[in-house]
Amino acid sequence: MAYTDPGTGALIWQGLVAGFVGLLFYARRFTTWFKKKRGPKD
Amino acid sequence: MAEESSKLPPSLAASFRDPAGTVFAWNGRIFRIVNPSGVPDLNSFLASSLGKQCVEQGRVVRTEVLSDGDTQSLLASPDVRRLFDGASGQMVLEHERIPFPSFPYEWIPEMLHAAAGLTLELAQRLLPDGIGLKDATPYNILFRGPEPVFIDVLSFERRNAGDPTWLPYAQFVRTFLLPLLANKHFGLGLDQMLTTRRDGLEPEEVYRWTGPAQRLAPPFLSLVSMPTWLGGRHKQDDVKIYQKTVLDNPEKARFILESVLKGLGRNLARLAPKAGGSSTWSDYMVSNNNYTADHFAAKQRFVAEAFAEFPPKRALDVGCNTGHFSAIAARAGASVVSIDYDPVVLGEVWNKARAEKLNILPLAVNLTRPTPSTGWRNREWPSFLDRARGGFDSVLMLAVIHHMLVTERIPLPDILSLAAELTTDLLAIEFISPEDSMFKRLTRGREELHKDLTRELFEELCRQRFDIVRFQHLEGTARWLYLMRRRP
Repeated sequence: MAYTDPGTGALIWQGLVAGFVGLLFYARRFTTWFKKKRGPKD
Repeated sequence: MAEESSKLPPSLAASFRDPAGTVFAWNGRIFRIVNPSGVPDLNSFLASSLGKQCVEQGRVVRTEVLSDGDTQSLLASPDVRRLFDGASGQMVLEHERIPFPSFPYEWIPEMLHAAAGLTLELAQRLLPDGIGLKDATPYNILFRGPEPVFIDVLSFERRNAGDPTWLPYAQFVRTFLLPLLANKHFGLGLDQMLTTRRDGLEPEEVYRWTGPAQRLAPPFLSLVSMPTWLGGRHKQDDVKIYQKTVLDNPEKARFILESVLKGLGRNLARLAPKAGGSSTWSDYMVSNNNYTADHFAAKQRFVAEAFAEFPPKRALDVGCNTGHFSAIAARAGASVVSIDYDPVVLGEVWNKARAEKLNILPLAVNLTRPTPSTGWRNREWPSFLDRARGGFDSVLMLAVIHHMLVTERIPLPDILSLAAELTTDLLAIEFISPEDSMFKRLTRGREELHKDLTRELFEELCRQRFDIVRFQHLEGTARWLYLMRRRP
């Protein structure tokens, strides 16, 4: 088995999770914008 | 050189890895020298209102910056001056002294879980003030009674607002989550995992212990399997992953970081130790047929009266079981260290101490095979006995010496000699004669070994180091309680 630098896998995994959560950030932003836009008009 | 370094104040060896400072004990007080590289981050933490709140609430160790005058008085000692200059010091802090330092391999899983909770709590709580936590190891935590306290104030740093990563993520997983997981799912003791592994467990190592279905189930998938699969596929010469990512949008960076920390919190919640486990000794207090309720009440009265007459400040309860007598000492005002080798009974002690706010620190230590000195040159973390010798004015050894004599074959004079090293004053000890049913059960036909053990011999050996204040026979048993004071 090749030498694996300790923590490398966890670091990559954190990066992948961060990427996914970054998408959620925009999804949340879009939802907030959409709700505001569809909100009741005076 | 060796002579010269021996003149220095005892710098706490475990702090030598810290590039920003060094901790030392001096005249019973705890100081930390901070060098210029650590001062800006430290000042930010000390100025932060949330940081102050954490200190006031006891979650972070109480810390005072020494005034110029106090620093100069301290540096008037040539030994301290040499340490200060050697560490390129710029500032000196004084920390509260935590009564008894303990290490993760002496904790029970509940304590490691609480320490992990505190680490995550601080990483999350300080974010609004722009402060982050740059490392996440159980060695940053000590216990004040049953409560965890974060002690390494140089672990706080000013965060780059665009940084979405938590640098100590992998360290947190290795040193907190994987040991908790291995304890919960594979029954490994923290002492087995952490005594010689400062950096905890690697996901690859835990992966080998898991079955195919387990690898896909939470929390194994995110803590063990994914890091193992991704680490194995990663090209070794690719260093891009180690480069810091900074986002243009700080709001997004914080959202990501908070989500990552929350995810770790969810995994931590899944790894909470099971409550109410059972072990050989967990129902000893109720199933022990050597005591009736009257015997037990008499024993309780004996200990309570001893502490009323000689109020304890620092007590050690050896073989504490569920901590009944530790609680009596704590209620009498003592700061108590309760040791037993059974983590299940210690879990009860810990829960009781937290619920009743008793100053009891439960530790998984077997006095016949106490924790050794560990780490670099065996000097980073001192042995249990190095920390305990002369550290208690009261020692309880109730219903325990027969286990030491018979099971561990420790000679009686040696047991009493160690008791005299541990206590500076009081010893409450229970003599159990070879006629006792538990003693007989332990000897298992090897009665010959203890045929000379009599109460008269016990008293004679005790008198070599102690004055016997009083003793009491527990009527109808082969057990006697003794209260003694160590001779100066």
